Amino acid sequence: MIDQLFTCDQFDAALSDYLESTLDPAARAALESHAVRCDRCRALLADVSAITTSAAALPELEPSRDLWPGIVDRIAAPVVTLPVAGRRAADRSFVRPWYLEPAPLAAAAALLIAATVSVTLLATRTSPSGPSTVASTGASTPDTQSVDSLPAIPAPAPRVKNVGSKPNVVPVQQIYASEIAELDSIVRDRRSQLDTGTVAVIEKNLRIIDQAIAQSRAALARDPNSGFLHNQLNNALNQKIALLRTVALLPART
Amino acid sequence: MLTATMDVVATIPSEEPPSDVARAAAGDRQAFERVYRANMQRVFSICVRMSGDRARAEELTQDVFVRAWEKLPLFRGESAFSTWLHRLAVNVVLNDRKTQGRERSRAAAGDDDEDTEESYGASAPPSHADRMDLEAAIALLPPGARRVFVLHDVEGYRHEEIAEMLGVTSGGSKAQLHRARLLLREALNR
Repeated sequence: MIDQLFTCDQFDAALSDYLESTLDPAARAALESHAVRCDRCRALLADVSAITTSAAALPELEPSRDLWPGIVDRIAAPVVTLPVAGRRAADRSFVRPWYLEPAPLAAAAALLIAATVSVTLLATRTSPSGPSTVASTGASTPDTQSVDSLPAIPAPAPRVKNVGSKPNVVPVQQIYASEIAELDSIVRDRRSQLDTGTVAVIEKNLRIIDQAIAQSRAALARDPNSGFLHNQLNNALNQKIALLRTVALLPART
Repeated sequence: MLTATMDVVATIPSEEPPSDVARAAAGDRQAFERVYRANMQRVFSICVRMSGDRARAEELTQDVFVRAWEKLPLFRGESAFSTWLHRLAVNVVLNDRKTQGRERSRAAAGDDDEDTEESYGASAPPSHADRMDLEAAIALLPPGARRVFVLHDVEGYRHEEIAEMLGVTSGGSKAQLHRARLLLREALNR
């Protein structure tokens, strides 16, 4: 008899395959026959079968609170993921560098705002054609130069809300490219004035942003009509410009 | 009335009209909220059962939908949206496990095998019940066994799929499943 070949250990070993109906007919019959004769294995089969049946019928669960507000907060202001910076921010042991302390940041922000407002006002006063002309006029405006002899900083690239349509894409990307090139030039000139550790951090973050830009462009090449991807790309470019502008405004090392 | 309404909601298939998914992929947040409402319970359920932690599962559910929002433009409709989202949820939970595992191993410099029987045997059953129910028993399974049990017996994945997701062999998945079932039986009969 086949059944005689089945011990309780063999029954245990074959049980999962039996429940998944992957046992061959002879082994299946042997297992069932053993279960009829063995109280221990019969109880085991009944219990495990009940567990698998109940598991498949478990109801869906409800969270204790509405999770949507937390989600919409995060998707409302999409940002390019900066894994290193993000991880560090979450790590309490991370020591914030001096130039990221609130006071220097606030000073840089104030300077940035002053420069931006001046340049934007001047540009919009002199040119009716809107923000796309800012890049070409911002670098050499007297107002910008008057800010404590800091280098002339191009104004921020225009935030393009609706970039899903193709006609807007090329000019906007050109504006970004132009501004980034100008800022890159300023930052290159300033590099020797900055602390080497600061420069290393800046370069690392620029590499991360450049990766995000490259990924967005690659995804856009596959799906050029995606509004989401256009926004991602513009956000990454804005981040790069913001970082370069901040660097351009950093005080020289003491 | 409320119960009746909830029953009706529960019977609505989680597959929303394609237009909502398409609109969400194009950046429509209202459409994405409808997608969220239609799929939230299922995603939350798998997060709870795989993580064994309701509070963490709420955070993970939010992570899943934020990730879904980011990745929706890449969804090609090669599978049902609910299948795509479900797999995304599993990946988010597993990645969270890996992150936590790395942090734990840095702290303890020990084996990454989190499947000690300690937590299962030592944990007290829920105080609201004389006998542990299946949901509570699943939450107390060792993590590795719990993940395989949830993926196989609750969610219906095959061992080959589970092996790929978890980076184990198909035989390893079967062994964990068998172990999980025996541990659950022990807990439920306690």
